[in-house]
Amino acid sequence: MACSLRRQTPARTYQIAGIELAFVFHLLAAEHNGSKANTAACEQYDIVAIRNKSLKILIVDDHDGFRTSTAFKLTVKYNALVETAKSGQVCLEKLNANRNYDFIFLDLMMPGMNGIKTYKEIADRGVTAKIVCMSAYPSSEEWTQAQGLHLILLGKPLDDGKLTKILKEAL
Amino acid sequence: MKNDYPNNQSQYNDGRFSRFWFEIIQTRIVLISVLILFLAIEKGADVRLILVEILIYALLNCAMGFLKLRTLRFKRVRIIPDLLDIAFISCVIHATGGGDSVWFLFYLFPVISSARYLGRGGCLTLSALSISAYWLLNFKSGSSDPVFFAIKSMFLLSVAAAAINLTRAKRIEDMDLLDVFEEIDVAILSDFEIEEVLRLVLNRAVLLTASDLGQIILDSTPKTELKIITTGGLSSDFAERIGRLTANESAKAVQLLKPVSRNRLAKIQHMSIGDPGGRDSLIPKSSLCVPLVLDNKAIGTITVYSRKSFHYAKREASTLSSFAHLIAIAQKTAQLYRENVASAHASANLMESYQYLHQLVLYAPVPIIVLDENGHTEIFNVASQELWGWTSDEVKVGSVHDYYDSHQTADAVSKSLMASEGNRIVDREVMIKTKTGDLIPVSVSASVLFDSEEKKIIGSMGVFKDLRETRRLQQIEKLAAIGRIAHITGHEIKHDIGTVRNYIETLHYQSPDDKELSAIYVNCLDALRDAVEKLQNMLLATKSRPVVMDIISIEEIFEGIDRMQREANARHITFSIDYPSSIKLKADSVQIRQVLSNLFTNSLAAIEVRCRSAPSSEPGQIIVNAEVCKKTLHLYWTDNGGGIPRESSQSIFAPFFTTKETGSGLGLFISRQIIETHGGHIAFTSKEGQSTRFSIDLPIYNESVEAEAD
Repeated sequence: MACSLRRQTPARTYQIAGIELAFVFHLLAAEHNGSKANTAACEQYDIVAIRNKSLKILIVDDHDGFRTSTAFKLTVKYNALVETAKSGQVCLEKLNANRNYDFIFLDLMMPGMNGIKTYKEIADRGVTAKIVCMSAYPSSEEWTQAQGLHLILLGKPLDDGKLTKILKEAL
Repeated sequence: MKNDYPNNQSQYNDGRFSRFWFEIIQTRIVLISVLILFLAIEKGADVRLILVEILIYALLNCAMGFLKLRTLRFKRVRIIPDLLDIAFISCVIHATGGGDSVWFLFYLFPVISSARYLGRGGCLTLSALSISAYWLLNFKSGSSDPVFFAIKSMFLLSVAAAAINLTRAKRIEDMDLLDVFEEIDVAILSDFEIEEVLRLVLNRAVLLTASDLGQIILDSTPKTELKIITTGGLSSDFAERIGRLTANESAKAVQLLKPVSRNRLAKIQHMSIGDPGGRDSLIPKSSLCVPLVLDNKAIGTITVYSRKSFHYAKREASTLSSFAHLIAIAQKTAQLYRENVASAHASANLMESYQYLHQLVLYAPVPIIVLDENGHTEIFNVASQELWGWTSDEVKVGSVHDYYDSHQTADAVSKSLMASEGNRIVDREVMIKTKTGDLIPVSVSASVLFDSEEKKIIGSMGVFKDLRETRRLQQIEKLAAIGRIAHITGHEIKHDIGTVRNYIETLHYQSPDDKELSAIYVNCLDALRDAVEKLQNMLLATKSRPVVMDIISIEEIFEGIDRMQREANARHITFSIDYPSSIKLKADSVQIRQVLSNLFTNSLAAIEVRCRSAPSSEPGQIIVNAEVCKKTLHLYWTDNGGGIPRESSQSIFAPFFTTKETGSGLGLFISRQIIETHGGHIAFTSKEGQSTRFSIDLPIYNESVEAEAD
């Protein structure tokens, strides 16, 4: 017996005074479908909530393509206010100018000042933003160090589910 | 008591009138002359008859001279001249009328002369014969006075006895001499302690020359130190003083290479030797000094001293000379022995060093081949035997060409060796051929061997190195390098994939209504996911990705289900999934998803294979269900893809095991690693030809338990 699962297409969002109709539609649909819809619906709800917040995010990564694309995603999908930094140095400069970020996404493997060093510098300055570390090298020493410092870790390529969850916690 | 001369060969010469015969003739001539004298005085004798008898006798004696010495050695032969004498004398007595006592005295001649060389027995026999002959003659003539006859016989016998005794002493003396020589010969032959031999010789010399003191002075060059041996156990001090006594004589003897004797020492030096005032001190009055000659050179002297003046005559000199010769022989023997020993040592050393070097080459850790100047193999060491598989004997009959893969190679090597600088080639890569015909890559270093003047070529040698190991290590290095590059590249590629994914996801998010576009985006994302999975598989093979454990809900594991559904639909495979909700696990969702994805891929492949081989069979079906039992989540993945054959069932979880042509063989291996890292268990059951069911057990995360633990 096969039960078919219908993929819930993400509805176009309408910003109506903070209330997203899509959420309503999804909820209705979810009653008829299984828990999977629930997850998807939950995710959509989360995304909506995140969009509402307009989080301020700083992305620090030396890979141009990845940095730009992540910034693009965060801007378009999550409605965040994104600034990018090419290296740890630039990151610190940006922090000097404005230290008012909700999240700082730090790439761990960067030439010169790597993610861990940058983190330590940031921590010294007493920044309140949540630090999220990203890396394509889950077996590297930096990853282990980050785990030791109890930082949030994301593997590359980014998993959107995890990303949403992390951003949700800022709410 | 022996009464013959043993082994006195040196004194006689074979084949001519011997001394022995001369002696006989001399005494016979005396006899004849005395006879003639008596005849002249005597009257009433038949002179003519007697003269005739004398003549016959003389002739017969001369005839005996032609007897060879060897014949004369026999005792019985020696008695013939004496018998002849007795016969002759009897005839003469008979011719003179007999009975006269004077004629009786002539019998003394044979008796006395025989005593010298016949000994007791012979002498007494002759005496008896003489007496009986005489008695016969008297008896015949009739005028016999028994008493007088008895007295005459007694007289004859006593003379015979006396003669025997006198000559006996000399014979003993001669025999003593021979015994002594024998003793010394034995000592020389068996005992190489030259000093012992010299001491023995000196003692005997002193004894046999009836001396009181003796001394040997050896001038042992190159040392100027003299070796002095003295009898009587006197100290070196005395020895020196004794030596000085006859310094002149010694010098003269050495110069002339002849014995020198001095008979009146007291006249020159009044000197006493021994404890002054103590024991009976010895004042030598005469001395005899004989040089020791070896290779026509005097190596020392032997001197004997006596208390009596005029003690030493020619006889003693000759005896001492014999001893001197013996000493010379002893010295020569000792010298030869020393040389022999030294030579043997040198030879042994040479042999040892040769053997050592030979063993060095033979057991060297690398294959070494040594050729002689004609190219024949001289040494084929143990390592070479192991490399080629030939034994040392087998290669001796072959040629150097047999070692290489072809004649051209061998010729090329030898040509380059001859043409190179210093006749040396280093690390030239060639192929060799073993006994079994295998070709092995080696590098050869060879050089030409020259003799010690570096003029003539005496051979050549080659040292080989098996390159298979080197090449293998190089291969491993290369692979490791590739692995490192792959590792880095793989990780870096994730950035680029991530970039693409970011954009596509955003676009996908932005276009929910456009179904076509949406579908395209979905396909892109699926492909990207596949790419990432392939990367993960490859990277996991080299390094295991540490798990990012998180408390996740069960739904997160199944997030990739949509894609699977699409895939299954496309292939007309039914795909059903069922799991209990609101279960929490402590797991890395990405990795668990990867496991499920692997299982999915395998199922698809299995179903495809079955459908291709039996197109009319039932359609493919994948069933996924999960249930909770105690604290474990049991997840079952079933497909009807024809099952896993029994021969593969042992090794499906092994790395690099795949039945697909384009498979990495890593899927199930990594899946098992992931599950086990999570503290779970993965297993399968299979009905061959029908279906396979994988079962994954994972521990459930229990909040309350964790809270309690804290």
